[in-house]
Amino acid sequence: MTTKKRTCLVAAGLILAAVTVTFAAFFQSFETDTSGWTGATRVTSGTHSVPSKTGAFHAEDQNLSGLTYTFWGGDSKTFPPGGYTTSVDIYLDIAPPYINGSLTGYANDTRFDWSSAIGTPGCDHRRDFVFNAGFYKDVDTTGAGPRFVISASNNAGRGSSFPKNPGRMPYTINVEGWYTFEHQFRDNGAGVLAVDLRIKNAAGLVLMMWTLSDPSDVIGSTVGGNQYGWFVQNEFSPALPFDTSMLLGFQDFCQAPASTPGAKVTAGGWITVTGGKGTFGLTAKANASGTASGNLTYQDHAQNMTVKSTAITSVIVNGSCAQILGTATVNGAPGTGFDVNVCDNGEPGKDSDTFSIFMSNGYTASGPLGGGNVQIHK
Amino acid sequence: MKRLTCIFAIVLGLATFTTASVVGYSSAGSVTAAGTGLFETGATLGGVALQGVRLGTGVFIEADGTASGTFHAVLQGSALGISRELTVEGKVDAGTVSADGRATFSGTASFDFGDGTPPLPAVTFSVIAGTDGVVLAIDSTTLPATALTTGAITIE
Repeated sequence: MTTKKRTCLVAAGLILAAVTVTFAAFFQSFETDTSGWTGATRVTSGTHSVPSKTGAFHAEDQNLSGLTYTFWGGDSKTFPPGGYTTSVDIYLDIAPPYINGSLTGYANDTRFDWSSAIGTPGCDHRRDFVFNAGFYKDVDTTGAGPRFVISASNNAGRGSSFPKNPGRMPYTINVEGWYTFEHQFRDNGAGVLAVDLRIKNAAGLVLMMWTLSDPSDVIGSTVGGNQYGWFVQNEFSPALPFDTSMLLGFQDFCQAPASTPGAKVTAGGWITVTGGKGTFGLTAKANASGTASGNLTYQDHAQNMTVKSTAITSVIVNGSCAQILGTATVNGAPGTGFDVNVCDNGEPGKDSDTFSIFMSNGYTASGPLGGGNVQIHK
Repeated sequence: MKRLTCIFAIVLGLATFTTASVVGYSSAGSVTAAGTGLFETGATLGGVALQGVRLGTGVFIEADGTASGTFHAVLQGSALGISRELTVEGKVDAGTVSADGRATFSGTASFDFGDGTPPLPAVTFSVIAGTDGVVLAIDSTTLPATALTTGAITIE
């Protein structure tokens, strides 16, 4: 990922952590680039008369051939405790003037499919969870006139899915605008994967939800971590606009993200955590060939919890911020992944620099430094 | 009694290390720490009776004796029956790692007496660190050793 995007990611993560005690492991709103995505075309707000959902830029899927996708920063091996959520905002073009220049819109039954897929613990593909969406202007039980009809299934494409499938609870949207397409991957309570597919309006109100689950999708056995987000099908010419995309949840990547060659990060100090203080010490670097090394020690005094790294797998520096990934012991017990983000916002570090830690056991803490300092040496 | 014995052992170990560092041993490494420790009974600084310390430290030490990183320590104690926290915000610029796994590093720090007066902006400090505790010297005062009670100090 690029510097600006990672900076954005960290900022978004901190905001989200403060609000929802969740960390955005991936965040891309196309304000500076399209990194993390393949096939996305970055456009300014107002392109095709579509205002960006957030900021001054968004993206369009213009290739119309199922080649626009993201891996949310990388596919993951393990289903995280508490699960994870992916989302993307998609613009539904329902009223004239249409993006294609027509006053009558698109041909009846023009479709797109948006999938968020999960993998196996071995990092192979396991299953797709797909929003099947179509533009319609005919008259039937789903409505009349220009509208989108959307349903959810495990299949995509004209040969395998149908937005109006009466057995899939088709939902009709008549109002043009941005909608959030969200997948929440969770444990159904019995160790089996369940995925809630939600559509939210621009205000965040849930309009419709489908839940898909298959008893053979056993977490930790047949089900691992995240795979791709993919516009499997897009028939909207010349473009289907989309914006803010993110994955909330811990990722233990199948392949560690590449470190920044020559990266060097030191930090020490404390942040406020629930019920007390969290102190930390950090040394992390990557050599010229990008091999990462270093140590992290973190102590949550309120929970009497000590995290001590056993390996640093990635050190990624982006401007004044850095992301450090690795594994650690927690009170001596091995096998917990961590994702630390630090920002060096000047001297002194108190009240200025930031530290956040997100762990595969669900623990998260973040905030400005109450004392100490972060230094990004490169 | 066990704690005193432990502290005594640390002091002896650190004294040995100090001697070794003086003869010029230098190696690249790092010191990473987060935790709490206890001072030997009778530790005082500026009229404050010190009981404990809370550490957050990340330091890289180069083979040429230069170093970089942060030493953050909050010294906890009391004066006239009132709790006080003295804060050291250190920027490290020199250090060595000894063959026995201990490290020493030094630099300049802001030092806040925690009494409402402005922090002193450029106080020299040095630290001798082992995995079991640290010895901190501030300006010309070397404090008694602290023994780590929670958390961890990693020296590589």
